[in-house]
Amino acid sequence: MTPDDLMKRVAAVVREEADDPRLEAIEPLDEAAKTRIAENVASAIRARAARGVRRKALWVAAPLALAASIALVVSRGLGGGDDIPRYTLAVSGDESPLRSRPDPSQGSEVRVRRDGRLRIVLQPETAAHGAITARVFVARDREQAAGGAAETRPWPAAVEVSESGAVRVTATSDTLGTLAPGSWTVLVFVGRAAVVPADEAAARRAVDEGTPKGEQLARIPVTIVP
Amino acid sequence: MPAPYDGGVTSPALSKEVLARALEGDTATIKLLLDRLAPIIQARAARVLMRRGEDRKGREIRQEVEDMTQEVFLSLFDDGGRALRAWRPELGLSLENFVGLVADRQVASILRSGRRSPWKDEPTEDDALAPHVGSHEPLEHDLASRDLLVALLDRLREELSPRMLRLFYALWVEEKPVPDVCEELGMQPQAVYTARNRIAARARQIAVDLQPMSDRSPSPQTPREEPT
Repeated sequence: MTPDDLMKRVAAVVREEADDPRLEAIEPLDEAAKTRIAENVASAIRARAARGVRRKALWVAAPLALAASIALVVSRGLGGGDDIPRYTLAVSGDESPLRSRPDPSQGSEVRVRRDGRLRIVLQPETAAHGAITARVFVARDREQAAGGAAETRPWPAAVEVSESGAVRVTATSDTLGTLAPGSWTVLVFVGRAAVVPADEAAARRAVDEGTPKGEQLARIPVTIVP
Repeated sequence: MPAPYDGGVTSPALSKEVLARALEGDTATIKLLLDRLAPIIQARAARVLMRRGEDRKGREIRQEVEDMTQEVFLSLFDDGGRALRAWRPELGLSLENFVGLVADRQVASILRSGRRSPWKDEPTEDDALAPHVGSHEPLEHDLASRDLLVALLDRLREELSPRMLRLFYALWVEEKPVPDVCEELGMQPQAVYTARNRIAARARQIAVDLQPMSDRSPSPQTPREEPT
């Protein structure tokens, strides 16, 4: 096959993409979504100017389909293990009184409806070498449970891990609906398969005693609203 | 012949001055940009996401497209808006077309690695792709498999500069004659021919790299040594 033949075949794939009839079903962004994105960008630019530093990256992953909602964006760094890179955390829920926080390193609570959508992205600052595993649990202590029993359990949210070690956790109504309304903590363990907790007992130990080398833990306070 | 990658004419409304206001954080101007650019970004994201998500429900795909549209739009403002500042209308690409090509790159990067591709300055036509010229590794016929062609397309979108990617679309997808491409991009015919050869050479090298080792033929330039 000549190089030109190869290019013609690749070009045919491009044409196939453009001819996909499902493209007609894609609706343009509505005004609320566009306004929200524009405000997100503008606020990020102004925040960067105020700090006088250049931001490395801006992570926003708002569920735009929820036109009436407000995206909450949180970014903070997680300490890196010895053999895995430092991670940056970004969370978006579908409902919050806050659009952003001046000091996201202090953490904040994401509000999400049981029929809503929660997205958590853990982005390594440098590509992770070797396989990265991620497991997700949900927990609440007695205070969060309002006098009920504390609990920690695996949470079957969709987890995707990229080649570079980036982790994306997506929870929709299937998984959010398993949580009773109220306060919860989503625990996302990222690291080597050998050390990432495989069950709730191991997850509780990691929370109480700290994570071992080769593992990081993101704790995301979440309020589930009916 | 569809012309999905023809970005149309340069709109006087989307000038460098408009971009400067957007990059200063003016919400109304950012919204204006989004009004003009979102449909382009959406279309680019949708094509790739639909091709990858053939077994997924329509609503899921639509949500992914919306998320990706936002992600790509935000990438235009990364690093002080470096990508937007790199747009040079005098080189023949409208802003809409330029952003569409940047969107191709970002979508490919995000889907492959989960991260946006850091913006790189536009290479000169002389050094673009130069390190890849001269590869003579064999190319097997079964490289034509669809999976490999799709992977190759993703890599090209991620690696080629907007200008080189536009050349690829113009020459092979839209099958434009070289004189038309020269006129569109303000290039001399020889420069177009050179770039075409370099893009094809790079694609060929990527294809060889993507080809499973077991499928590769021994190179005629490196004959296997017979045991003595």
